[in-house]
Amino acid sequence: MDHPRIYRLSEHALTVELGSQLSRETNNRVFALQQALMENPAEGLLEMVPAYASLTIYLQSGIFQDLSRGRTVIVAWEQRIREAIAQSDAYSQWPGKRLEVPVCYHESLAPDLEWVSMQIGLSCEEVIRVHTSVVYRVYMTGFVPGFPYMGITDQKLNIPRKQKPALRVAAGSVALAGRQTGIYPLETPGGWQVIGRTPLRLFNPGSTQPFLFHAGMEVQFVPISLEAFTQYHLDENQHA
Amino acid sequence: MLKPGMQTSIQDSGRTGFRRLGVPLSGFMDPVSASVANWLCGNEADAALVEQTLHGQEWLVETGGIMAFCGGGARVFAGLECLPQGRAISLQAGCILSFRPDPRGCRSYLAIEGGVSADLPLGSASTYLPAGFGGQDGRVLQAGDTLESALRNALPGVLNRAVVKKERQVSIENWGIDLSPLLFSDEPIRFMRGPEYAWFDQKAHALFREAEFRVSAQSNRMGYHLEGTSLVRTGEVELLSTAVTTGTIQVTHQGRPVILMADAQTIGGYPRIGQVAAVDLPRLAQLRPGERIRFREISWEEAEKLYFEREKWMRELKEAILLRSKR
Repeated sequence: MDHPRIYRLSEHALTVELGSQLSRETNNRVFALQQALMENPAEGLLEMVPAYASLTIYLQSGIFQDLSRGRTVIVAWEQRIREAIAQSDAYSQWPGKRLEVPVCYHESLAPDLEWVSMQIGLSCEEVIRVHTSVVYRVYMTGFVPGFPYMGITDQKLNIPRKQKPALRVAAGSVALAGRQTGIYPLETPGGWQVIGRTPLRLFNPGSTQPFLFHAGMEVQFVPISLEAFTQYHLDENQHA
Repeated sequence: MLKPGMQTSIQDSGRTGFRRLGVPLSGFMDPVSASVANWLCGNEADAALVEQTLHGQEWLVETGGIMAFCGGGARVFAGLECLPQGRAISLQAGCILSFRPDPRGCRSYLAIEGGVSADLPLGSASTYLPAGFGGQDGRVLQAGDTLESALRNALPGVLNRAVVKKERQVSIENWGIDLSPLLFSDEPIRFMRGPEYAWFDQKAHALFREAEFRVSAQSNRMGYHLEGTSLVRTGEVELLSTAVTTGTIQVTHQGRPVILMADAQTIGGYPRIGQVAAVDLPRLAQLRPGERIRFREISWEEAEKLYFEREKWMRELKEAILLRSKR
């Protein structure tokens, strides 16, 4: 398939697909394109949603009829997007803050750890060691508020999603799916394999900093004991 | 609030600017009914109001004022009097409003003059239940909750005081807007081809256009799950997760279509066979669990044209309401 591919997502949204594989290089280009469009904000631009290998551009409803002047919206925007892609080559680096994330891998907080360990043929200790040995990048945030999609996990941890999603996954659950790792910010249903839990709060809509994770961040998981996890929760609640 | 009904929450036109962080748009499921209810009360289209799924709400009016309701799923009574939809209505203190079942439609909108007062986390009053924020403490409304007018959002000099007659508990404006032809037709839901349309074979395409589906009982503000024929994919390629939006028709690994609605997740990983035409979203929002649904394909050019026409029609409708209200 040829990239970039520009397609309509809805009457007032376009997606620019820059690749179809999970790669750091393609993801850099997504952010570079977002940066280029932010620096020259075009009339009618409402917001953008970067993903692994695509950037979605939401347009204000009501404004683009005049902008497109009889042309379809996609024709009116295609040229602008192609220019932005050409310009965006200048921004190849995406600055990422590093964050240490404590994770308790105790069996009481890791409902799928044992199953994962059996499936991939590593001991639970080995799974934890491999999971914490890589510095991950947050490729995107989404699905629900504050969910970080991180990668790329070691090939040894490659495990498919659950056939049947769990009805309740606890907030803070650290999980695996394919070559991705992520953290559930809220208690929601979920299909990823849960191998631990962080005591950190990922999303707090009442705070001045509602989101813990932002795309581009580097993340290092640090194993903590159940005692430390419990203590962390107590401290959090005292501050709250 | 005396009784909460099935699922009643505060909504406005939605929360923009945070979709890149996973915060959905939320807001009115049926923006046409909601906007008209707001205009009739002299509010801007995006003012916060009460959205109810099906029926069961009951309210005691503590302070008199103007309200309007639009949508479907409920008929509203003030005592024994059935109140018309799509009209400005003046209520005096002491009135009890009850939302009784109506077989037609699914979502009703109760607007009050000045808009409903609510917290605005991340810039919007819309309640997003999965994360528990917005509206009334991030939850559905409960018996004992009080709605207050925000006394803002008002369109300048518009409010029709003529409707208020002090001697009557209920005074009804003598003109109104009937949205039922737009909301309740049996026509198929129009869709455009989605980015992964070609991932499905001709048989699946034909089934999707011709088969009849049923809205499942699991359907909610996040999405409508459709029951009926399975849509089988040709390959095994996994989609690299990417943006999805209201109206996106995803197909799960079991071949079941899911139409994302107002609380749509921001990112999805299932192939997208189609996108519902934005002009048909209000009609879709009025379909209730168990109802049948069929699809008809239109081109993207046609969809944009319909969308422009709808926007123009909405602008004209607003002007007409304002003109009449000023008299």
